[in-house]
Amino acid sequence: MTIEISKSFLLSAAVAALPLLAQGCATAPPRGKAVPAELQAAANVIGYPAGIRYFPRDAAHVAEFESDYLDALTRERAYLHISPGTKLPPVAYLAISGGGDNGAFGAGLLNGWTKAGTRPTFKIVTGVSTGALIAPFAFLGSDYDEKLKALYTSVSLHDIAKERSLLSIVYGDAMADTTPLHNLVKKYLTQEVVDAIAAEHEKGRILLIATTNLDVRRSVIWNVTEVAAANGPNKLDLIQRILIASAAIPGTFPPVMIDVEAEGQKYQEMHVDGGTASQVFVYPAAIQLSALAERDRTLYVVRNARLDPEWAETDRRTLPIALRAITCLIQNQGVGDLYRIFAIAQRDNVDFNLAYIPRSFQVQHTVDFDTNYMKALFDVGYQLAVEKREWEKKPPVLISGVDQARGQ
Amino acid sequence: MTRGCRWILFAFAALTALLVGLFFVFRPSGVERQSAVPSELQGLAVVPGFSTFIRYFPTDATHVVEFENDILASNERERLELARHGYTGPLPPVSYLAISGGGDNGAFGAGLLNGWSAAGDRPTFKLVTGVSTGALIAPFAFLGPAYDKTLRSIYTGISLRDIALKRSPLWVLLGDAMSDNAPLRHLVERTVTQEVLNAIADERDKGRVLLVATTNLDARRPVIWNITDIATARSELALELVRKILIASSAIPGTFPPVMIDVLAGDKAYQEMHVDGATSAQVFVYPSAMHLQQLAKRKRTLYIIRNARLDPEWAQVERRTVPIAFRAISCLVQFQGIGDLYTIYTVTQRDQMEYNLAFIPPTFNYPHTKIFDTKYMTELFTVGERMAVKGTDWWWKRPPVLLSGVGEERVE
Repeated sequence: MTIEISKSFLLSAAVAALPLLAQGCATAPPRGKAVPAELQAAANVIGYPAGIRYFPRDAAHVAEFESDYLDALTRERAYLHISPGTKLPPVAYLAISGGGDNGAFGAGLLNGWTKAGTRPTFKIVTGVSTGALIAPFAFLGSDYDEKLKALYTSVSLHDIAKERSLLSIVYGDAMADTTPLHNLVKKYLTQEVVDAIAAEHEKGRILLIATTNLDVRRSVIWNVTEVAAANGPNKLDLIQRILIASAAIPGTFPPVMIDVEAEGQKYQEMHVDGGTASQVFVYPAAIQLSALAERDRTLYVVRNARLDPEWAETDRRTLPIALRAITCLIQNQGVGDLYRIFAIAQRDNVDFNLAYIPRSFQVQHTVDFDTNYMKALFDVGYQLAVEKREWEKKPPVLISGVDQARGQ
Repeated sequence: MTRGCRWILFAFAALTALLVGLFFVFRPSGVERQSAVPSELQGLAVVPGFSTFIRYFPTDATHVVEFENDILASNERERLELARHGYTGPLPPVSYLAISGGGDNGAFGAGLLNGWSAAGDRPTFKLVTGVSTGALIAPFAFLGPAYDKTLRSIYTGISLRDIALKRSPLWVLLGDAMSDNAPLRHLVERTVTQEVLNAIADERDKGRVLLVATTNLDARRPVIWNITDIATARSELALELVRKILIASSAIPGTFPPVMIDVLAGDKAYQEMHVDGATSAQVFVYPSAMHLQQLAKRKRTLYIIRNARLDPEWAQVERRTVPIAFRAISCLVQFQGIGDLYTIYTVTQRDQMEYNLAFIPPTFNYPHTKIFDTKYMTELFTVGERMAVKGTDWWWKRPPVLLSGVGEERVE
């Protein structure tokens, strides 16, 4: 997400002068002790079992993910009355990426897909950042299309964040206050939604959301269906917090502190935007899905971003350069994520499908969460789906120059 | 918060407001830039004195075609060289080397190359690519074991003051970076000499290729520079350009000043802003759009040196805007690097190229408290060196999928 230049100058002034008075004077918002490095894998959210979340590159967690996945298959068999040993029917997976207000593209695409009449009931839905806000509704199906549409075509910046004063930027934990986003999530993600998710858990369906644990600098995959079905305390609040954490762009929005315990001790983890690690994900690379259970799988990846470079003359000053570089880094990280997913899909015989914001979309993106921009982008996604446009079968290799040369 | 503290904070706020005010009144002229190449002219921009295709935009169709032609031309030169030695059969198997970014962690790659020479089975690489710290290693890796000593002295004999000087807070605010990399420029001038450039040009005549990536921040896209093609000029102008490219490739945006490169497009002069190639990709081999095996059939083995750890690094993050933002950037870079390893893996699978990957092992635990700390780099250099001396059978055949938990586990 871009930050207006005037604001960035204030911040640069703050950063520049920070060493002058950093010592001993100001009080940062308190945080509980971080989970020590050696206890990381043992940390559990207070009142919940271990299997509500996974560290995708940790061997023990991958094993837990596999067993939860197999349990879900058992529930699916029971629901469909398919005996063990019989091949399961084909399934579709949906992965929704980060992208801030560009999430309007995915929201539009899902609405259009319903209209086209070909939208599957997804066995697994995953979401990161803005994709995490879309995912629960995408998971629950077409009945929630109206909610998605409202979420992405009727909000503006003041429904997401409030500016903070310079002092609370420097001494606080973010540049903006996300109380409006908290309220928005509370309004849409209700107890009724959580109950509906729990009901889908019984059918063997899975909803996954990723956040980034900044203390350990790694991604955390939350099994929201397991949370919804568990018997833990403050379930609604926990799910709302996971969604907000997943969308908490570090530095811009405050991190979400999650209370955990490890070996009887209480700690706090700092969670931010899942996009800090991966813009989009499906399942840990260490899991070989085809070896776990034989079935035909189709994956749909919705990348809420453009993949072509966005030109701008860069102001030759420290902060504009740094900010421009971060957007560049995120764009390329997102392309790498597509390749990671593609490589794994190939290995596991999963049919890969990709949609992203087309180059032809040229509405000016001057203000974040600009309602008109989001409406226009929603329509683009909607039209792509209604017209049953072909999905891309691999990550794009050419994004400028001659269009026809693409995907040779 | 005590009363005294509050006063300091107010004074600070007032000072900041003053600075910002001053900035708008007196825009300093020290960091003016010329106009960026307009969006529609990007593909046409030429560095004066050189041909258009001393560099490629890897996602642009026209450029990819040109890159393909240049690879085919290098194969022709290779054939001629082989014929001079009496060989006229099909193109023999070749090795490629890709060296990643990673700042002072480049000591790992420098050590690995030294150890590889000592082991006696280091190939002469047909193609060498470098990004950021890898761009500083690449020319010497390309020229072979004769330059191992240079690599050793760069990565074990320097400290932070040989790379960068701190700038004052005011200069950070009004200038184009947090520090001044004049020392790094001097280091590059000392090591990348006319003699080195001529040696690179000699290798080009044998059909070898040296590539370095920077990021064009205006266009927000990577640029691959064909250093071997630039070097053929053997001129002072070529030497100056190569040095500029190496410094640009390692110019961490915000930390080091960007490198402005003068170009011509449609007969008008413009300036491009180039920074750290790692802003786009930590490591690269060739554009994904290029199907190398279809282009020219031969057996290819790729070695990737990732100058980074891949396991998570723990820290209790302070709950403040700036520490959170910095930590997040380091996280983003780590995961972007993993994505790059997958991008390359996908391409090597498609093009039937053997994939080999080395990265800093999780067992390396020397504390990294300062950047470009000589002791840290020396320790890391030794780690790389020892790994290579052991042989080549430990190279990873695909990007690792498990990085914590059971250390020895390698899921196949």
